[in-house]
Amino acid sequence: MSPSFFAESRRVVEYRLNRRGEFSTSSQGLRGLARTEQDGLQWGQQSSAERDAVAEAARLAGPAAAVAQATLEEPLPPWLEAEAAERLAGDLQQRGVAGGAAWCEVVVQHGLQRAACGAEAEPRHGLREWLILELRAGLADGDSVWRCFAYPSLREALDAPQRVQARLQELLDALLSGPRQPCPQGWLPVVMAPGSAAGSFFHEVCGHPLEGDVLLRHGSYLSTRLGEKVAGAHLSVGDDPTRGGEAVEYAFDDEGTPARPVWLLREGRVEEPLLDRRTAQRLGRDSNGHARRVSYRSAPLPRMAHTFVEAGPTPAGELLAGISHGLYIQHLLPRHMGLLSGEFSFSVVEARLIESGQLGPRVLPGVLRGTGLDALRVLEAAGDDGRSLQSTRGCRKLDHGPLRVSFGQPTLRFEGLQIEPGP
Amino acid sequence: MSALLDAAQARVRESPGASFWIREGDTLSYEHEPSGGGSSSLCRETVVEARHTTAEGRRGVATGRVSTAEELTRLWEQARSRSAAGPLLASPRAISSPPLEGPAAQVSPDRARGLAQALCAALPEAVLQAVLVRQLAHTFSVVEAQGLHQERVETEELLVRAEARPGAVVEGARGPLRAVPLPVAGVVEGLRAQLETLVAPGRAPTAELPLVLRPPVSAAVLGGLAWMLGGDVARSSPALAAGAGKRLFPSTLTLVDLAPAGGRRFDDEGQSCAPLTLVEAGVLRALLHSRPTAAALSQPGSGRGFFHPELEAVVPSPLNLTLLPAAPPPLDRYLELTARVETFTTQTQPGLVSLIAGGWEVWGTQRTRVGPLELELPVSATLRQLIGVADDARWSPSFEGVLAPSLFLAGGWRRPSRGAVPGPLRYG
Repeated sequence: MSPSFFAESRRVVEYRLNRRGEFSTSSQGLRGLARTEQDGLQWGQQSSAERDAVAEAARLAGPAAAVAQATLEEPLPPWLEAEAAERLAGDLQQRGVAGGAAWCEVVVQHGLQRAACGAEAEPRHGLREWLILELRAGLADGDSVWRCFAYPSLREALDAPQRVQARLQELLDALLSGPRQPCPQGWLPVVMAPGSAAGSFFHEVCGHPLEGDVLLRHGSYLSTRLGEKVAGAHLSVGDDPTRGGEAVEYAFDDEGTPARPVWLLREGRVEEPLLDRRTAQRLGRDSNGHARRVSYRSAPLPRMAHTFVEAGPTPAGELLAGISHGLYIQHLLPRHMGLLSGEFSFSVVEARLIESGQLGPRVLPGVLRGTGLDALRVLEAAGDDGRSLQSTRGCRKLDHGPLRVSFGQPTLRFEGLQIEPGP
Repeated sequence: MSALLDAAQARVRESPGASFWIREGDTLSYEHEPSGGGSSSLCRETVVEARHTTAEGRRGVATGRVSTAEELTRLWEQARSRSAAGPLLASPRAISSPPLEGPAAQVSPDRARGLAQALCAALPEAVLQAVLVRQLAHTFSVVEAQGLHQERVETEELLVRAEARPGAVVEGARGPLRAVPLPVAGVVEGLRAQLETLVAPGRAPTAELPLVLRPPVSAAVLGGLAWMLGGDVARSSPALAAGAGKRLFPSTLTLVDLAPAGGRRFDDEGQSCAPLTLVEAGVLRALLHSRPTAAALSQPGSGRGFFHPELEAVVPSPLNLTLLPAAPPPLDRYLELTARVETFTTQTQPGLVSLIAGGWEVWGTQRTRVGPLELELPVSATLRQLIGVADDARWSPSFEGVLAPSLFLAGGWRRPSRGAVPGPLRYG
């Protein structure tokens, strides 16, 4: 395989307005180049930063030299200035407190990455941009609610303040909906909210188990089940870096392979792993555009970008019907995942009771636990209302992180999952 | 490097208040595919933190990767522009350091591959998720008006993560890069012991027995303690910020932070990394401080300001934090936790360590498998139960700067009911 390269110039600025009204800024700037060569099954990458990278770029062969040099030397577009971020965050904080919250915190992250990569004879290049806004508002007793949303560009964010304000109102409505009940315990019908942070469920339970490196070592409960049916025909889970909107988006991956959607599960059947060039070669397949790097300093790995559950035909509003006592989950955080056995546990951070087919009060933190195969088997319906979510948290696979990922899903109903009160 | 050093020294001579921290060298990461092959990534870069301290003692900093004298100057100008609004610091303590001797050590992909292959060959039965060898050959320089301090850090780390039924377990070792490659026997033995513990589910503990946390498990508690005693965290905890001289723990607890042999002599702010006693026989003596956190609490600096690569800033961090041995009472019956399942986070709330661990209930010579159990250990309440510390401290691959020994804790923990099932094991 011919040598390949990856050049990037990146700036990520993050602004935080804490509950005491203190505004802080952090900023990361990176400019560097990595060159990868293969010798049998050994892949070696050498990377360098700043001026050294520009000098290295000049030594690349063919059109790659000019493309890489331009990527490193062209200035990035303007990024969100502190003044504008402080104004935006201050306005949201003020609205949050005026709306009844005891405190409100705002994080705004704006990222710009100019990247070029691929084979030296056929380089690809482009600009990636994202803007993520996170809101957390709370009460004096420590109760708090979190919401997050993303824009594909700074301009779209600044042009749509009503959308931010609508999300803030949604957050306040949840926060001020009354005292929380104890989290229920037992095997209960569960509904996951659309586009909510519950999307991390499929990232952990379906995504990581079907990454190429995991398949190579037969390292997950799904890795030996390609082609097998593990869920109902109403469940399709994919990873698609080309969807845009609130999702992580790229036209080519960090090895220059064109991005394309990959079905992890299609109509309930285990379909295709996520591959970079190295794992594709080992598995006798072609890369499907899922090689991702944390930066030029890290080697690429097969990773997720935007993991989604395909919307189904059932009107979302009907998914609560018939549930006499259950849980509506809006925010999950992963606790642990056993890839081999499929055993998992998640912290239930935000959820509401379902009582007689209606949404009830919010509940205190809980724990969701089970195994992947059982959970996929009891997923009984997908609603018609898919939404996406992207946060600043990122994925930290094998300590390669944080890497931006996003989730998308419609309202989903599980016949039953194991729930218990949490810490 | 010498051109950059020359430029930094010239700037320091010309501009009162200017100083620089420079890290230069190679970082090699070799990730082995247990099924064959592997990938190495060699990163060669120079990271600079430029600093400018005003006549009043306010400091501004700017960090970046630089290659030329011009870039270094631009960075210092950024630092100078930030200094008027920077923290007010006490005058630095002058240190002296001997000049560097001989050439720097070289990182080696072949050596890393050999080490990874030796480990895989010794563990044919395990499903290895990751085998990583990381070699660092870095030269640190602090250039300031008082002089130039330089030292090298040349280390090799081996980290292995294997699949067990409930999740992954981790083992590792660290040693000097110039010595013979790390022996894999200890790592293999440690990993096998963890996997054996978790190979099948055990039962629940039968009584509130004394608890013995072996290094894979105790490392998380020590990691939580290191976090609590960081000057940046302690600032928001009045009990710790004003706790110097007060007894916070039992007399069995003496916590020290000592540089490993051949390790750092000065921190990334040019302060001496002298051995530090944080807790002496239960009495709080010091916190982990960078210069700004020490200044904020009006406390003496402790020379523990280290550059955090992800935060791209100097923060208080331990070098090699450990508890000194304290002979435990003889125990005939106890609960011994020997394996820890990797979780996404161990500190779910500030000061609360959450774990999933497996182990054994020991009655004399009889050992019965227990767990995996969930534990929620409030760091302070848990360490108040400390009755002994073994002399088996080990480097922890999951908790940076921690050397974890076995901890012996009194019984008296409980598992408060959560619905119909007992909840996690916890003290306090």
